[in-house]
Parts: sequence; C-alpha cells; structure tokens
Amino acid sequence: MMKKKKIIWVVVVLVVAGLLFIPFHRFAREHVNYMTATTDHPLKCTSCHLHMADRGPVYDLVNKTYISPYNLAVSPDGSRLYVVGQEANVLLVVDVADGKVIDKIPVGKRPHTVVVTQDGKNAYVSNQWDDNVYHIDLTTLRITDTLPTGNGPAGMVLSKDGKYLYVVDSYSNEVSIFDLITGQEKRRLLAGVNPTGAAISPSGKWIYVTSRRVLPRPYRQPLSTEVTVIDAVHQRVKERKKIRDAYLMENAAFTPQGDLALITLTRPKNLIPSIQVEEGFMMTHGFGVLLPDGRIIQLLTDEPNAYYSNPFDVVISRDGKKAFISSAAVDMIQVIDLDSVRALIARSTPEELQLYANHRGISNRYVIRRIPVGSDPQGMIISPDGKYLYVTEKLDDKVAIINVNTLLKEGQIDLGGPRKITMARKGRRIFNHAGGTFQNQYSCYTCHPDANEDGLIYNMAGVGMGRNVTNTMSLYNIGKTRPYKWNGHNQSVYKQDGYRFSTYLTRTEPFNYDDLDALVAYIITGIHNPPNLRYNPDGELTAAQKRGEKIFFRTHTKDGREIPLKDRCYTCHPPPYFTNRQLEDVGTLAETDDSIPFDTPDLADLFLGAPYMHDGRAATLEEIWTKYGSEDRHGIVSDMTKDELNDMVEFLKSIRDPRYYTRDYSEEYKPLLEHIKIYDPPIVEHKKQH
Amino acid sequence: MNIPRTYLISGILILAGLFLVSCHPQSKEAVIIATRVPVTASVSPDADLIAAPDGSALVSVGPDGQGKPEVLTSGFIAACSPHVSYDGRHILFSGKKEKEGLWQIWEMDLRNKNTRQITHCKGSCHTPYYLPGGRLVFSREMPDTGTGSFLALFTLTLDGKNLRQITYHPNRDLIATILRDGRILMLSRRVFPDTGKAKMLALRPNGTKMELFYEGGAGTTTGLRMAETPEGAIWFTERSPAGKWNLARIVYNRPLHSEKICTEKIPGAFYSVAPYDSGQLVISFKKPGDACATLALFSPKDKKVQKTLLSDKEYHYLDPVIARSYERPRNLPDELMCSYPTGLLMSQNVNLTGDSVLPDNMKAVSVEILGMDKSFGIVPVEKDGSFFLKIPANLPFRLQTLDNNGNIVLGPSEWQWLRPFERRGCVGCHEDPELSPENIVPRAINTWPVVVPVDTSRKGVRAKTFNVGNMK
Repeated sequence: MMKKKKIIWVVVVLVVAGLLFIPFHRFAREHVNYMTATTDHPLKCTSCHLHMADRGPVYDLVNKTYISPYNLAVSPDGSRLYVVGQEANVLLVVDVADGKVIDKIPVGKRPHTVVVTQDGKNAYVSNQWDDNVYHIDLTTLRITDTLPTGNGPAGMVLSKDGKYLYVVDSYSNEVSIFDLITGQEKRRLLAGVNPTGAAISPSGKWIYVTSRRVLPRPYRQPLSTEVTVIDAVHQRVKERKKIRDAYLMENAAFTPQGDLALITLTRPKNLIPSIQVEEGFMMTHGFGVLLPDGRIIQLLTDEPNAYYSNPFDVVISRDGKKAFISSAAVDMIQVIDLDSVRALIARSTPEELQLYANHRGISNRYVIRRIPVGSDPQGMIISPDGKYLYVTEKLDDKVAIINVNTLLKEGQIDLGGPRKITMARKGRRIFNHAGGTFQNQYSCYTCHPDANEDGLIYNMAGVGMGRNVTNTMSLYNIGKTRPYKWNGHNQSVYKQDGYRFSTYLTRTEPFNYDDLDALVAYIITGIHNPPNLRYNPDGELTAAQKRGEKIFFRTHTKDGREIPLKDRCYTCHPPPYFTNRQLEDVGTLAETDDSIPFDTPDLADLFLGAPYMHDGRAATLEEIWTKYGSEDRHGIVSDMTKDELNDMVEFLKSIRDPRYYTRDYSEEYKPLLEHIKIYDPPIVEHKKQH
Repeated sequence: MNIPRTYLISGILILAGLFLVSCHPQSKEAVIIATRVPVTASVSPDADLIAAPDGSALVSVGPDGQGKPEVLTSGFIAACSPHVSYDGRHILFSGKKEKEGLWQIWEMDLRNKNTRQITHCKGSCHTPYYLPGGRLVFSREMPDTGTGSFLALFTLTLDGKNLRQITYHPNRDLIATILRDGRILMLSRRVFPDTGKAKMLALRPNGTKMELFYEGGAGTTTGLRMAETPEGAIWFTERSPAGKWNLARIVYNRPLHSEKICTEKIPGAFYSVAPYDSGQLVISFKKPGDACATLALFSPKDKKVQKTLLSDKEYHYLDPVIARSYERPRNLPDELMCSYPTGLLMSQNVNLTGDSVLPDNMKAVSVEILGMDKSFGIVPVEKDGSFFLKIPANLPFRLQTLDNNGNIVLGPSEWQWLRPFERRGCVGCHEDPELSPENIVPRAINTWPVVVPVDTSRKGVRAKTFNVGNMK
C-alpha cells in the first residue's frame, strides 16, 4: 500500500513538474531575451543573478580582490623587488632569491608607480586615486610621509642626485616637483594631456614625460600627442614635442649612452573609415625614437598579418643594445635590436623614415624576438646586474623572469593572488586582450583605456564612409546607463558586444556566450571609477559649482518665465547618473549625421576630458552651448551670462560616480525630481546573435 | 567489499593494456588520405589536380603508412581533392560517377564510408573545403560568355542549400586552403582579356576584402594546395624557373616577403604537402628516375625526406590529408546585405604607388573604371588623390588612373568586384601592400560617392560636400 502511494506521489510530482516546465521555460526565455536583448542567450540564471551583482553579499561572494601588479622597482643590490599591486592597494616586497613575497605594505588607492632611491633605503609610491605619494622607509617597511600631489599621480622619476622627485599628475596634466629634503612640493609644471610615464636621461639633464591623450586640435584634423621635455637642471619645461599621429604613449626610456630615447605608442586610424581592417585601417602599434638632434622617428612593431597591441612599458638593457617592450594585449615582450634601429635611421632618408611609421613590413629588421609571457604584461625593470628582466603579469598576479641574454622566460614569481579566476576576472582578460579582434589589431582596452574612453572620434562606416562619426564613450557606470551606442540601439551589453559588434568593430568571430558572460560580468561589476578629486575632492561644492548647480536645477529663466519641463537640464539629466536613458533630439545633428535622436549621455565622467557631444565636435563643455546649442534646443541657455555658463560648467565637472557622493540629490531636489522618470529602456528589437 | 582476485588482476591488465596502447606513438596519428592517380593516365602530377583522370580514387592508409591502402571511393569513375572536417570524421571531395559526367562535391562519413552528393551544379565543381558554420566553399566551372572558361568560388551549406557565388571576376579561382583567421586563400589566374600570372589571394568567405596574399617570383609556378600549421607557417609547393618542384614555406605574419625554398638541394619533385606530427610533413614526392609520386615523410628541420609511407609502381599518390580533428578557423561575421544593389570603394591616394607618392608632373587626376567590354566612366580624384565610388555589386571592374592629358598613369589593375553592401578601402594604387594608411580624412568621403556607371552628362561631378562639423 505504501509502495503504491509512493508511486502515485512520484507520478503526481512528475506531472506537476511537467506541466510547470513549459510555462516556466517560456517565462525564463522571455525574461532572458528581455534582459539580454538577444534571443539565443543560454538560460543560465547565474549569468546575471550571480555574476552581474555589482555590490552587496552576492558580489562579495563571487568576486575576489586581485593584486594586479602594475609597475615595479628593484633594490640596488637586486635582492628585492617592490611591486605595486594596483587593485589590492599594496606594495609587495619580494625576495628575489626565494621568489616569495615577504611583506605587503598597504598603500593608497590605485597605486601606480614605485621608485627606489639609489641607496635602497627609501621608496616612493604614487597613489593615483588619493592624489598623494607615500614615502616608505625600506629599512622598517613603514610609511613615513605623505606628499600631496596634483590630481592623479602616476609615473615618477628621481633626479640624478636623488634630491628631487618628479611626479606626473595624470588627471590634472602636470608634473609636481618635490624637494625630498624638505618634503615640500617645490614647483608644478604643465605637461601634455593625461601624462603618465617619465624617464630621465643618463646625464640627468632631461626628463621626458609621455602623454596618453591627444592635444586639442581642429575638428577631424590629424592628431598629435605631447612628450614634455623638462630641463631637470632648471626645473622648467624646455620643449613640448608633438608626436604626430600617435597616442597612448605610456612610457619612455633612455639608452645608457643617451643617444636614443624610446617611447611606446599606438597609431590610431580614427579619421579613416574603418572598412579595411585587413590593412591596418584601425590601429597600428610601435615605438617612437627621439634623437638628440630633435628628430622623432616612429617605427611599428606590427607585421602585415599580426599586430602587437597596446605597448605599455619600455626598458633598455644595460649595454644599450636591446630594448624590451611589453605588448599588453598580446601577452608578449618584444625585443628590439637597437643597433639595427640605429643603422636603419642612419641609412634612411627623411622620406623613408616617414614612410616607416606606417609600414608593417620592416619590423623584422629590428624586432629580434617575441617572448610569450603571462596575461597583460605591464611594468618592467632590469636587474642591477643587467642579467634579468622582470615583467609584471598583471592579470595573472605574477612576475615573469626573463633572461636578458638568452631571451627566454626562465621563471615566474607568484605574488599570492586569489587562485580562483572569477567571471569578472576572466572578462577583464578578454577586455584587455586583442584576441577578440582580427589579427589582434586592438583590444577593448585600446579605445577604452582604464575602461574610460580614448578621446578620439571614430569613423565606423556603418552605412556610408564619411558620415555618422562617433565620439568614443566611457564605460564608467555602464551597468546603470543603458541603452548603449549614441543611437541607443543596443539595450544590453550582450547586444552591444554581440554579432554586430563583431561585424563592424572586431571584424572577426563573435564572442561565444561563455566569453560574453565573462566580458559582461567585468564591464558591469569590475569597472571602478576614479573619484574626481580634481573638481570634487570631498563632496563639498565650491561657490561657483553651487551657483552652477542652481542653474542646472532651475525651473525659471532669469526674467521669471517658467522653463518648460522638457527643456530643463535635470529632466533629461536627472541624478544619480544624470541621464533619463531616453533618446532625444536636442538640435545637435550635423550635416554628416543621419537623422536620428541620440541616447542621453550620463554626465558622471565629464570631468575626465574632451571632446564632447556624439561626434566629438565640442572641444570644451562651453562650446556645447556657445557654438553648437545657441538655439535653446539643448536646454535654455540664451539668458545666461558667460559667467553663469562658466558656473554651470564648473558644476558639470564636479559630477562624479554616485558611489563617491555624500549627498543624495533625490532628497535635496525631491520636489523637482519626483516627476522625472528615469526609463528602463524597452527592449524593442531582438536580433539573433549567432 | 570482496572483489575476486582474478577480476582484479584482469581489470588491472586491461587498464595497463589500454594505457600502453594509448601511449604508442603511432596511435597518435590518424590515417592519411590521398588521391591515387593511375600512372598510365595522361596526366602529369605537375598540373593542379582538380579533375583527376578516370581511375583516380581516394585511398586511406594507416599512420606512418601502415597497412594496405584502402580505396574509399570505389563507386566513382574518379575522385580527388579531399578535405577533412574539423572533427576529423568526414571528408569533402570532388567526384565523378559517370564517365562523361560532371564533377560534383561529395561528403564521406569516414566511420562507415557512406557518401552523399552535396552539389548538383550544371558546371563541374572542384576543390571543396569546409568552412566554419556548417558551410563549404568550392570552385565551379562557369559558362563561357565570350571571356573564355573560368572558375568562380561558391559557398553552400552542408545540406546543399544556400548556394552563393562569392567571386565575380573572369579568373580561374581555385581554393588553396582556409586560413586559421577564417579567410579563404585562393590561387587565382586572370583569363580575360589576357592570361595573367597565378597569385594567392585572400578573401573573406562572403567574397569581400580580397587582397594579395602571396605571389611567387618571376618564372615560378605556385602549386595549388597550401597548408597552414598552428605555428604560423604555410607550406606549399612551387616550381622553380628551371622546372623543379620544391617544397616552400612562407610565414602567415608576413607572407609576401618570407618565402623559403626548402628542397632546392634535394633531387626529385615535391608535389603536395600536409602537416603531420612533431613538425613533420607528409609529402607527395617523386624521386629522380621514378615514374610515380609516392607519399613520404619530410623533416623540415633536417631538410630530409625521411621515410616512404606509400608507393606503388602503378599509381601516383598526391594531395595527402590527415584524417584527424583540428582547430576550426574563425567564423568571420558577414556584413553583407544581399538585397543591396551596390558596394562602396574608397582609395586614400591614387598617387601613392609602391613606397612613395608620384611627383607632381606624373600625378593622376582621375580614375577610369573599366568593365568587361566598356568603360564605366572617368571620375576626377580629389586634390589629395582620394576617390569614393558606389559601384554595382558583383560586377567585375578594373581601375586605371589617368593624367591631365588622359594618358594612363597606372593600370589597369587586376579585376575587382564589390559584394552587396561591401565597403572596401585601399591605401593607394599599386602601393606596397604592407603599408597602412595615413590617419587623415580622405577628402573624397566628405561627400556622397560617385555612382558608377558614371552619368556621362554629369562627367562624374561630385555631389555637394558635407560641411563637416556644421549643424543641420
């Protein structure tokens, strides 16, 4: 009897499950389609509900804090490595002989670079998101001083006599010079745009500071990026070298002889329709050679069918015969024979040298080896005896050891990061690696360095060739600000990075869903925004910013007319992300645009820099209204004075990631904002991805 | 738990046996499949084997040539051109069932040797290759419409549907391999209006973005089949000006300038090649004085023919392939819109030729678009040498540049075509193919493209230029 009952129960349960399966499956399918804006994403609940949680206990459960070694230094006796852990906010002290981490010194937020004094007793660590440099006593391994810097301290270099520390302020575009005896900032010099790297000549007379973003230029005209030459004797800017057609110049190095200075660089092709990626119509990569006579030669490390994307660091062997370049997006160290470079320069005409900047066929004359290393190689240093090259493998949490003579990777130092590779970490590897593009020509990171944007306007040739050029968008806050693309056609990151992405951008096989899940997990959860310390260091607005805030949230013109709701700033740009996520036409269409409304951009990354508007036409925030929005279609501005517009611009620059806010706009402006709807964009279009 | 001792020992022995078998070096290799051609046939292995003589068959032989060769295509009058699927379980081949019949594409399941016909074309079909995404590409004889007989490439899904032509020029196109990057490599020779030199061209599986991949030196003849290794080497055969067939190698990363002839000093003729194990190659090789081509192992490291795998006094063994799984090439996305009537072509500077820009007194000022039997018009180029054209899709055309007096500066080019909605760009005109473009906006794209055929009444006058940066 009992057995019969059991059978009946089992049958009942199976029947009920069977009956529920079909509607549940249908619901799940529709739900997944809606959330991903695709129709064929596998029904995996974990894709979104586990790996896309961007905070809270689920986030804590599935994510890990990795070390992400970035730059490093070596002690004068070669026994210790000092490795900056960019994500873990630590300085790791590594015993080279044992290959083990012997100490972890907590440092500031987002540490960038470490330098060690010649006596090996002191180190300085730049904390990019804290706007300071830590002075660390290496005998006690304690922080002994904090040096306030400009905004975003990054690369550093010590003067030859060890008395001064030059700190590159990457966000405020400056170089802070510290007197290390007094511990005071002595002088601040203006650098290029988004400067990061610094190198000092063997004589100690010159310091070269490389920049990442291009200099302001006329709209859609050839670009150039600055190398700032500092006279270290007089501590003044001697020259601003414009490196034409190049950007993302991360680092520099001098030969011991001082006859060459090398900089890493990428040569974008953003002004050309990106139609023929087969012939390098998107990006090429290489290095610049700066000669004492003022000549600047650019040489590619690419080959006709193979690209070596995102060159990051460059170091030169003690004998000055080899240069090593870490090609971050292809996990390789490229070895350059400098004598071949010298010979090439000596026997080539100026016209030939100019041609070489675009020639993918000559790298075999000077690239003598490509050494595979771990994931995302970044900073490098050569041991004091010149025998070993140490390379941070950023997304492996390791340091590679390469024999400078044999050019073989001889070992690895495990820095002790988490063993588990989370989805977001896997996604970050995909994001940084160029394997997802045709012939490794570029990675997501190339156009979105630090997950931001590269400041360039691209001609993606969606339909025509000279039309619909697009300003690269930042990925900050992307999880909260869908839809995507300027035309708002992509309602999810899945769709954004899906089939059309491969058709028009990567030009190779689309990501499979395992990789796409990981990529989305990183983009949604793993991108952390800088804190906007430059314009809003503590959440308290300046007087000008407060005046600008009032203008932003105003409801009436100065003469007392009520501004229609649709024309108020906060209607389309409501906090916390300052977008209502709707498509709007605010009269910004250009002759080169098809007639479409544009996705209202969020404003939380305005402080990071120009250009502005969908096609990057506005070189400054002011130009949005003074040059391109004078008809009051993009908000009511015609009644403002110049000072009032300046105040509003100051307020706009103060906006930062809501995570850093101490104030809640929804409370402060509750009566205004309660009528404003922030839309969840409807999924209007499903397209099969694969 | 008591396990009888005999069971235990038997189990251990079976596992040990399986382990040993799995470790046997020869068992790593799958069977070798080749085309067997009767030596009595009036066909020389010197020629590309696309329509093998009657009596030709596909045969398989065990790893390292073990065992007796097994004929796989006994029901066919002739068969050749095998290509192995990515899972190593099937092969495509071209076969002929009737003596006067057409060559069609067939697929064989290697597990049971069952075959099925995939194509039913009105012209003979040759050199089939698998493509990612359940498709294949093959070469088909096209009807002679006054241009001479030529061969065009077609793609098809494996169920025999969705037939699409992808090459549209009067050339003899034969597939050499599918590159790991997903592109098709084809050996293409112009047949109209005159006969050109065969060149290796790379193009996407939808027929777009064709570019020169490799071209042999003067007096050489490139063999049809190429084989790419995971390490980035591409092996093929090439006949020297003196008439000797050699094994040659280029590097994928820089194919135009990396050729190495590997067998100049080895007497004999090398006809075809396939990557084998441990860096070795299986080759089709004929010793001096021998009547037949054999299958042999070749060591690129030692540059030696190491071992004969298969030989027969009555047959040549050609076009070896290895029946094992291998990495699928990338499945490239398809941007085409088949209903779109045109494609776009942009050149950045027609006066950039070779490695330099022509001097002012030699510069071209216009470009003429030539069709098969007429000119489609002359279009002035911009001051910076750029032009931007909208050309009917799937239409063969050639370009030549003209100076102020209408004299030809460069050209005519090789035949080109654009697929529906294709956007193609070039850096210059006969420029060094290793050059990337300058990062400047070509003036020609600041307006709409000139429509080809050119409206002669308007003489290729361009539309109004966009005022870049201006508001609407």
